[in-house]
Amino acid sequence: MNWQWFHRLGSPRWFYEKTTGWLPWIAIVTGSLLVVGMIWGLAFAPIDYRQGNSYRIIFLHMPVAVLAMVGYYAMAIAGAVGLIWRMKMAFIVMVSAAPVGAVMTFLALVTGSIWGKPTWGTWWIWDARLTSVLVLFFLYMGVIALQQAYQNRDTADKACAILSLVGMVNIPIIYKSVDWWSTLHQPATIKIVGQSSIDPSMKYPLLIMIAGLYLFFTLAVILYTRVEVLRRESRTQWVNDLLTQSVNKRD
Amino acid sequence: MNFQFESLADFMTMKGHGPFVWSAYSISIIAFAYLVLAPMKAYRDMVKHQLKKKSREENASD
Repeated sequence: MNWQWFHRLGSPRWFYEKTTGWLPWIAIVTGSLLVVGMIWGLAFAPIDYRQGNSYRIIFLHMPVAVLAMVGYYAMAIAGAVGLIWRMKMAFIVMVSAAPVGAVMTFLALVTGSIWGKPTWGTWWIWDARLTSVLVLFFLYMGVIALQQAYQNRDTADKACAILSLVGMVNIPIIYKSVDWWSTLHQPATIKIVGQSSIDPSMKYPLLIMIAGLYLFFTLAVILYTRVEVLRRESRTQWVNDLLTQSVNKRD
Repeated sequence: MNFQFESLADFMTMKGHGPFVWSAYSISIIAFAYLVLAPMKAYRDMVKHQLKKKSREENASD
């Protein structure tokens, strides 16, 4: 098997230069999906006969909640790759996924809370799902704080990778919490295997929002990763040349 | 596929659920914008820093 791609992937410069060309395309597709998904969900999806219009929050709430968990896996796996293969690029991705995942988790909590008020009659309840997602948010904040707590970058990277990996135990708990503990939070409405309990007229805009937000997550992580690459490689010639070029463009 | 509301006013109020739906969407859009703008600002700050470095070097060589 040809492993060249793997070595290239490990080069921050290669990543930076490759993604420069991808960014506009990802941004255009992401933007279109989000605009279509939001308008469809807000204005054209039929009203829910039990929850009324408040259910329209699902088009944001469910995808951001999924990404809060997927983002954590991405961060932890990047951390593991960094620890095992001592790959510089993996740690950079790990550090960059943390703020994006934290914002997604924050949004899952906030949109869920706003949805809870008209639906359950309360903004917050210490239910298993809500509590485990709050723990996820603190784990993200822990990784971000830990990264800034060390003077030495290598030590900080390793500490963050270990915290991310240990925190992974929380993800299956979040996922299964609605089945293990019978709580206020409803179980999954879309199933990969088996019958979904959501009508197609609501499922399509939801799928568009899921696709759009997955892409958005990728886009945001790439943007953060590029900045982190420049920060860590700031003493190299190529970064110096690249920034000088930008300075000259401004003049 | 039809517009689900009788009027624009009906769309805004959403039969009482308007404040919840619209605030959830606005907060999310602001957060998404932040995730794009924050790294872009960090990049601009680096370019500014480079500009300062460049002018320092030019002054030093004079």
